[in-house]
Amino acid sequence: MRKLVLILCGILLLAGQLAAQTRTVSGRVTDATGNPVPNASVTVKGTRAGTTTNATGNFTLVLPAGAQTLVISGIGMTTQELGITASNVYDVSLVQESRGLEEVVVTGYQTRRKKDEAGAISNVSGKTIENLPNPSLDKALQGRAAGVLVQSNTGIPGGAINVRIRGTGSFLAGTQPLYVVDGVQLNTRNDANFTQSNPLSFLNPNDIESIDILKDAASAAIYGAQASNGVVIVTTKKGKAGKTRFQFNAYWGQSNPIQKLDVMNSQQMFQLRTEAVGNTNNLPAGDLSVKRAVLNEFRVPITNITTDKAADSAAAALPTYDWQDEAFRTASVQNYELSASGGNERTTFRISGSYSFQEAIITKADFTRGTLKFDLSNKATDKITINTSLNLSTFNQNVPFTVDGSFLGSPAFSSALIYPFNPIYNPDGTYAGVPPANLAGILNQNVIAVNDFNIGNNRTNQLIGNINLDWKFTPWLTYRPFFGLDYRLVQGKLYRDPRTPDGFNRKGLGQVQSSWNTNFLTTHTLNYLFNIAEKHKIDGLVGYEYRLEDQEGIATSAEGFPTYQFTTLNTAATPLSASEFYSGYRRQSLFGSLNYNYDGRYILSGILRYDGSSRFGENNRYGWFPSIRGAWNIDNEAFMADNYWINTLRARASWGVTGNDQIGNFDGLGLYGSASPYNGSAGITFNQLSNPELRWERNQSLNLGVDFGFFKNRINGAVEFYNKLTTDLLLSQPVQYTSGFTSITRNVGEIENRGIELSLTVQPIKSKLADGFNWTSTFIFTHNKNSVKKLYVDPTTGLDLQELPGDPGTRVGRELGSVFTNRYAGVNPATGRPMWYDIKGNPIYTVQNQDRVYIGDQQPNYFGGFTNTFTYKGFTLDIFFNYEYGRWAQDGQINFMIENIARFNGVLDVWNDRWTKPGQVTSFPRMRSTGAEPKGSAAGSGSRTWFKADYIRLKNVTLSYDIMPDITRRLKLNSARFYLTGTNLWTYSDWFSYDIEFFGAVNGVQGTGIIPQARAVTFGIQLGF
Amino acid sequence: MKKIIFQLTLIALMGTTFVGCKDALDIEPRQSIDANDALTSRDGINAAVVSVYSRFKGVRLYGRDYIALPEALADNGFATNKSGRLLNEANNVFRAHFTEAAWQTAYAGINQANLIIETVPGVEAPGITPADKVSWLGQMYFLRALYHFNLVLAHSYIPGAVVGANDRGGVPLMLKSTSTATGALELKPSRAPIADVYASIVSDLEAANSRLTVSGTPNLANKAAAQALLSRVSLYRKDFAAAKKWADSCILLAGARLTSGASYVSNWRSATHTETLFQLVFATNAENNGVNESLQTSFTTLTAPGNTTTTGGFGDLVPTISLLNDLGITLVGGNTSGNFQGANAAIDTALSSDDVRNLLYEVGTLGRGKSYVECTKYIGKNGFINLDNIPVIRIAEVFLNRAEAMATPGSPVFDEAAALADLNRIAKNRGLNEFTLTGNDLYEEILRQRRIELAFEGHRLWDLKRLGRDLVKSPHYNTVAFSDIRILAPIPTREVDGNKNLVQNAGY
Repeated sequence: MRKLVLILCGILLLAGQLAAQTRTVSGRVTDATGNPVPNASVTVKGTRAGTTTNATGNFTLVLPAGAQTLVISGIGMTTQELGITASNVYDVSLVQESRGLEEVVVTGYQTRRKKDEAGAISNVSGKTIENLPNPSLDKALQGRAAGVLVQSNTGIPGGAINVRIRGTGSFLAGTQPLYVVDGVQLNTRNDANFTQSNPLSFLNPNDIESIDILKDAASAAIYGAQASNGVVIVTTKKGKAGKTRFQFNAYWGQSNPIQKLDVMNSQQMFQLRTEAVGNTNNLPAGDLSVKRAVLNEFRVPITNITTDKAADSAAAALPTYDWQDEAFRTASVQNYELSASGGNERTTFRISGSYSFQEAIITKADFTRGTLKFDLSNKATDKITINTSLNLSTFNQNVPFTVDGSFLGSPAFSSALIYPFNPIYNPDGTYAGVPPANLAGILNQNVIAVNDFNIGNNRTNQLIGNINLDWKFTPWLTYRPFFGLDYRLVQGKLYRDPRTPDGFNRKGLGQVQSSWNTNFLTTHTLNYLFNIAEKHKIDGLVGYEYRLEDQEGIATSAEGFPTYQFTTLNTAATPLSASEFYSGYRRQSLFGSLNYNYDGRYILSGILRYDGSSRFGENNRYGWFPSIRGAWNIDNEAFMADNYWINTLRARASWGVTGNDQIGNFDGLGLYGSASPYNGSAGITFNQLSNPELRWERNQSLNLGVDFGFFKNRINGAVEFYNKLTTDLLLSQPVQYTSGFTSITRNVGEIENRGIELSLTVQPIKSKLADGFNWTSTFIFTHNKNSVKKLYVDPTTGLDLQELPGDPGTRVGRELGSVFTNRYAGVNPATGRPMWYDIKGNPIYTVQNQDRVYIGDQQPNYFGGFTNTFTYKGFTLDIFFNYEYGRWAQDGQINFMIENIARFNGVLDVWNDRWTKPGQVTSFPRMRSTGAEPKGSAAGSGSRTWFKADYIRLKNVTLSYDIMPDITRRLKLNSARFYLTGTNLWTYSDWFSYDIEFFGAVNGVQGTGIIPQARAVTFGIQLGF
Repeated sequence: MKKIIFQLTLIALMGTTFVGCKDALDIEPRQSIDANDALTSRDGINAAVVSVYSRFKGVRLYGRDYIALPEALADNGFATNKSGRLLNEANNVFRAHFTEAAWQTAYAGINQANLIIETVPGVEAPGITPADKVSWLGQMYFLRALYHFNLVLAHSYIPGAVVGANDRGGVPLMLKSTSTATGALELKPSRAPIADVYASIVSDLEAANSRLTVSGTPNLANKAAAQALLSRVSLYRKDFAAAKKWADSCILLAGARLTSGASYVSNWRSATHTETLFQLVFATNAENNGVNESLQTSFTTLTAPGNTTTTGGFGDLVPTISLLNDLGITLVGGNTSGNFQGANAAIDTALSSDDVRNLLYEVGTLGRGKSYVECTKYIGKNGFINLDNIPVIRIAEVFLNRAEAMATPGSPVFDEAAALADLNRIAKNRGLNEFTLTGNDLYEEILRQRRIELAFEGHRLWDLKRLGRDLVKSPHYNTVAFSDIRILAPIPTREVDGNKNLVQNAGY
């Protein structure tokens, strides 16, 4: 109707001006990607003449006499002015407005104007993350939203990503946020046995319209018991009415290692090993018997080596081979996608398909994905709209030897550690040291051959889709039934080739697994919206939700294959194992929200959710999750109306309660489970004590925020302060092993996360012209302080426990997973023995429990990102850094490589820094073949292996060029863009292992044998037609 | 308005289909069963009994550590550093000892045994006979004793050989089950006196002995095994009369199982050695302890006796020079430190003794660097590499227990002639000439034969420790004096941290 009025007005205006008209101009308004902008207003400055664009973005306007400037504006777009010239054609590309507050946000079951929201919600537009070579959307969030920490734990394409929103609030339960894609609550557990398969990889990130992150408990409370870690709501691209538009996008590229490790050569290795053997046997390293022993270890025939000279020349003759060079590869990245979108006023659709391929830089690991996405919306009647969104996705991954760990056959682990004198190939070009032969040293497998021979792959098929209805009962009441399905089938196979050491004696080992997960969700909401009087607006919803999840799997293995060409289990001689797995849970909930808005100035809203989950003890199945939010839009007050430099100013406050139900499905039950068989019979054992009181973790958080925009919003942003207190923490409370059990899951502890978030966008240079020079800079900063407030009351003493038994890193007053160990005191210059400080500060030779002290924190205190975007004409340059500060970490790979044993290769620092003679002041102990000195602790004990993991990384740089509209039109294209993207181009840090970004378990050692992330460069092209 | 009411009613109806279901949240695990239902059937109890046995197969218990660590920590084992495993134990590095996992697994086994012991007398279900109940109880008492015995050996001194300054008592004696969360949280046991732990072990074994029957299979607890273990425990705690009494009784039952000559060796090549009174059986290859820590990979690089062309495991722990000397094995080039460590091993058969037990020691492969003489008592004799039944007690030991009980000065059953007869029974069956020894020479020869007979079966540390002897490890490693705190394993830190009643061993 409104449209009709506008059109009529336009005609009337047109008619009114006919008399004086001199000429007619036309043109087309598009957005930055070349899509048409319908309903954009085109007016002539200083007159009442104007029109709006049609569905294809075209307009025609009759210019009044004296017209000099066209003013073009669209909703959510920056207004542009265009000087009128002799030309009769004016094509305009509008850019997205940086005034964030006019945007809409998806708040869970509802889409609302950001200006009406009082919670802490970050929005990441699909545009900012498009065309980056990330297989999954979680990775793309890194550094883009304040308060959201994103860390990779592997360089396997499609591998797991760690996302923490506002710190870690749990010891035991999951810490990852809830992901909701187009209303479907996803299961993001990795089900692959042989590689990492991130379920979020199902979605081509370029199909994402926007991502909204509910950070404060008050906003997330609508998701109740699953929202404690925040909620990431992903909205995918949908169809738009108008002529069917196609978009083709492709990129190609390469990736390379960020760094390889500087390791020792064979002569250095020989020297270190003689020192180690000599020191252990109280002989000088130069003693002939020591040299002979080491040469013998190095497989040099020693029968004729009877003099020092002969031994030295044999050592000097050892060749050095670069195993890392052979193990790493230049990996390729490819991505192709095609989409079509269109429809009419009743029906809109969008179809997109994509193919993407990405390799890891070491091992055979790769990632091949095909996706098909289909969105349809139909206005069946004036009151009923049917929507559906279906994502079909399959990805196939060649698997690495292992995902991580110190496995002899893993190239990611071993290639830097194999004794360097071991040849990789025989002179005839075949692999050296393959069974029945092997390489010298503990790492005796030719990992290049192992990687070449073994095969394994993992296929993940996912169907994620929904059907929903918008049924307008009355203008103010809509019923929205929603049915969603997240179905996943994971099939994996791993074959240890009989030509490799792990398969040789057993004549090949084959393993297959299959697991499927069915996650069904239905939601029924009644949304209401009405104005009581002109100034009182009320909206909200009430709803019911049911979620069911069943996870099943089977796995089997066999050995004894006829030849290496046979890899299917039916050809194997001996079946080894067969296993089956089942788990699942149910949840049902009632929820409602009520938002009240007075005159656009005062906003008050409340949420209440009642959740029940089968995961909890029978006495605590259900719970309430309330929240309240308020905001004052100061900029809408009358007294602000004339303010010249403050354009946006809002104050917000919120309080709410959410829960964390990410625990095992049957943790509350007393169970007898399967035990190892004996004497041909199956066993069972009492393995879990019952806890009928088990319930969700309760996260209570307070959020204060200010949104601001100054100088026509050229400086804008938001500051948030939060205090998030998690109580009733699920804790695996250790019990004495003598009870027969190890721990009981109970709701006992408390953790607090307090923090400040800042997102600031500044436009230092802003051109008045559409294609002028613009510079936009966005800075994201987060400070989070985590602190354990309470553990539990010791039942025997009645006192609050200060430290978790056996887990000194969990103690009251410190961060969760703080590093609490013996402080390394360096090396005794007289003897070369490693020392650690005792509690009084005296250096001693052993690490004792009572001497442990606080070293640091394993979570970053400060992190975020910094983006600069420059545009000029068709060029856009986007430079994005991310950073972390204040984290301590241990790197498992490095722990092996800084040993003082020389049982395998190590970093060059060992050679440079080791203690060799009395009086030498160094921190690296003398070599010793046992590692530890007699009556001393192992050299790798205490804080010696903990390092600061601070970094700044140039994460992405993208340079793109949009061909000017007048050229594209001649090419019969709507838009054309070329882009060049670099990833991980530069890093500032002291870290000396493969990659600083690795993230391990809270108390785990990260990085052992992990495939590192890569530095990638890609080139792409995007065409609209 | 009427329409709205209709529509709302429709929603309400749809809603109630879900909300109305009270059992909307009902879901049962399929891989586990309710603890209250587990021990109510014959099959259920049998399956629970199985788990008390099967825990012993783990690599932190008999699967490796109970066998390999007493050799590595004492003077029988030299660590070759081929995988790096057992290197610290052989060097007696501080805290390289019996582990937290062993403690945890053993007490979990004890609790399961206690649950069965407490449930069985009162359980009534189809198929359960009185004989079942007696058998279950006999097996559980036997296994509970074996768990406690291994714990107290590792963490405490042995009666009669105690360093007072370092003594912190025995281990917690768990004779009652824990089955509730409250019970587990409130359990804070202290260490029972050493004597009490031993008394309880003896009492459990006696209870087992009175319930168990003589059985052909050594795979399950049986009467002969209970008596054999009683003779060992009694000998350890210097109750020589009881050691002799139980040995007598056991030899009466199973003395004929002692093998001789070539049969002794060939028995080590078959899955079950005839001499075995109790062993942990590995029935299928799915139970394999694997390429890293099985006994075969720990002790030898060979995959089959005599085949040095194929390299299998790591061969991390091999006989020391002093064990080779006792065995009467001489290397080509002599049993010197330089030759032992510097050259590939070769056995000089001309200079080696006729002891058939030497045939269980062979030169390993060159596949992982320098070769050593390796023990092949575990060589995949169950038909798969790294799959070996593990003998816990053999009849040969019972003869040696009795001989020692009768040859120890001051023993109430002191009888040198009888002791010599037992010693010679072993010697003769192993291809050695009979001894004619008395006094200390006889006593030391019994100990030496014990070392040879039981080498790489997990005895050496206990045999030295119960006699208060130093661990003399030259020329490979520094000697560990009996007074050194490293004689005892630490109590798991986590256990001490969480329980003020539990005292850590001295020096840890």
